[in-house]
Amino acid sequence: MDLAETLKQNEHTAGLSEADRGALNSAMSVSEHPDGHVLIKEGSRGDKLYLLLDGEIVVTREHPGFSHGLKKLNPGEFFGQLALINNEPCSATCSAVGSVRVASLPQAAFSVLFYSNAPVAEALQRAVAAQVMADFRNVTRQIREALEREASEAKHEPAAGGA
Amino acid sequence: MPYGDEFVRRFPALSGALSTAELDQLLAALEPRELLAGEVLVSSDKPSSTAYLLLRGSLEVVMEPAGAVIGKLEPGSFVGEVSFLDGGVATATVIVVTPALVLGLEHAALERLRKNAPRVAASLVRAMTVAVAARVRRATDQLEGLRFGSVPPGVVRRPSLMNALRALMGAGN
Repeated sequence: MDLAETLKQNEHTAGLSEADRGALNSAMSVSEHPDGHVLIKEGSRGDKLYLLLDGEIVVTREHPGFSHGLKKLNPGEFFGQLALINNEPCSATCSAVGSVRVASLPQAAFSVLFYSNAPVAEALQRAVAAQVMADFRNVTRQIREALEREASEAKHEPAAGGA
Repeated sequence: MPYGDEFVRRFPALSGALSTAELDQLLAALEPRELLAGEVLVSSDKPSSTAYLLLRGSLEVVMEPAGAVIGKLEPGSFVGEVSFLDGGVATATVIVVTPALVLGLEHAALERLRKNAPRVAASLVRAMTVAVAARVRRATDQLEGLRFGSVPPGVVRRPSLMNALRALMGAGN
């Protein structure tokens, strides 16, 4: 999907006026990348916000010798915004699965929009908040499920000590 | 503004991003609430329509239905903010341990702030988002360490599910 259409359909930017969507569109650059291309590297200082237009991105945590997939991103999703707002190194790697098309907004342009265009700033703010809260719910579920597995394993263990 | 100094002390990153006038606008949008020991601030599995900023006192995070105490929340913590932001249910019960003072944010107040001072509203939501993101990251560090035995630098606790839960809730011992 092209950038204009993607911004029209994304739930957070859909409510923007055409002029404001246009301002965001103009500030972004579209690029294509091949399979395996690393857009964001875990541990690096992020300097761009991305919007996936076509293809799939995998989000991974790096370990010696292998990567662990945390989640997949689909067209219409933003990524990379957290690094622009929290001054922390990127917590995960984002790589292309197959070839991808993305729109990107560099740090400087993001700051300009934040200070000059309140509706756009708010839309991007809502997008990153929604993602972070979804990640929170996901991690909560994983921990809960693991605790339940542990509890049910403990129940089925034979009693220790002599009979 | 009452609580202004305490707020600046407990939430330095958030207040550092605001001018004095903006700080006043933010504080005007928040409702102070004194809490007694034993009061339940947030109930597990119920939505929280208020986000709280803890200024004074100590709160306990309890996982239901087991009633297991995960840890304590100290001043400078946000409470109920995930439920407030995504409309879902709270993941744990939060009980007041020592008499406490919180500042409460209601949806209507945030909407008014969005209209009258959009950058102040954005800074507040951003601060809550960044705080939750840091906790998600630390909890993920724990889970990755538990699954694969490799622990990122700076992780001081031996990976365990309880430590992952503590990290997620922002609850120290």
